[in-house]
Amino acid sequence: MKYSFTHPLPKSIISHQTKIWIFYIAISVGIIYGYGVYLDYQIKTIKSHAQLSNTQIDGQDESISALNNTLNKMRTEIKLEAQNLAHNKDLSDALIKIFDLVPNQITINFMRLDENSLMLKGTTPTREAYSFLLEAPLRAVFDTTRADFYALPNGWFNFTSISKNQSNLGAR
Amino acid sequence: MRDFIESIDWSKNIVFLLLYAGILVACASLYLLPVMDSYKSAVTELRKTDILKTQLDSAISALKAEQEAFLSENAEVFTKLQKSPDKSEITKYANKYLKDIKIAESTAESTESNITIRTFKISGKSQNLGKIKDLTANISTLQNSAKIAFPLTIRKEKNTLFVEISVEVYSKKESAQNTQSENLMSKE
Repeated sequence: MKYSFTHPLPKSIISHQTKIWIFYIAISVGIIYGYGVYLDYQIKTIKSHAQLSNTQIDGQDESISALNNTLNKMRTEIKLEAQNLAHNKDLSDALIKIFDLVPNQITINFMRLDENSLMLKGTTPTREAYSFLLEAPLRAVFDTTRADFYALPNGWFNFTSISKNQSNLGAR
Repeated sequence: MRDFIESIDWSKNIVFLLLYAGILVACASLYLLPVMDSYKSAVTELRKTDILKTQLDSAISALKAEQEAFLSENAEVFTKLQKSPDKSEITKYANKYLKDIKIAESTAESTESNITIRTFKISGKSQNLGKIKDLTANISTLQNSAKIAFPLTIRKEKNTLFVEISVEVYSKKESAQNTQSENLMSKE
């Protein structure tokens, strides 16, 4: 037996409007969470890229250090060769200067050239000839010059001269 | 429509709106903002790393260019240093200027920069000073890096000059030579 012409509607505990709100809240939270997960994924990718780059940077640092070492060695070698060339030229020039210093009146029988000194042994007709013709030019080149004389039976003198410098001969 | 509008419970909806806004603000501040901060810092770090990498790349290129320039400009120097001292070559050189020569290798020492210095003592006779001058002046024509060492002794007996001279020959050690050879070869 019916008391109403209308059919009964199903009544939910949660109202229709509440469902709509819950739906939008869930969607919004889902979107925020999804975006967060996407960002997390991006962060991981970026960090792995950065780690790879850091490894490459370490390799680059080693390469730079190796290249710098090689360059320093090369610079040292170039400098060494330049020093050798300069030394050879200085020595050659010094030798020429010494040969030019010796006058015709004086005979040199022995010469020893060291880095800072020159030893000459020879004969001179007089002490004065040595003093004016050889000692004076030697004094112009060397800081100190000292000579010892030994008289010979023919009236000439054997001499031993030692000249010293504070700096290298080539520098003069 | 009118029924629908009348059926809306405005007080309830306002509460829901406030709840919705609160949830959004809470999610953003407690979860999304920290993640975004992490993302920003990661991106900044990556950019810095990339900039550093680029700078290092350009530094390496500059150093390589400098090395190549050194190698090409000073190829003769490096070739000389790579060669081991050859006694026969030194003998040949000394023979040009002196007679009855004797060559003895006196010492060998190493420097910190992987260079070995071998000293050869040359003695011989000469008829004139010009030859001795040439002997010292042309030492750089040797195929090795060479330096005339002290002392230099000249002794005159009758009309013959007896000369004693030392020559230091510089060469790289084996391992260093190999590296240099590789550099030269890679350049070629």
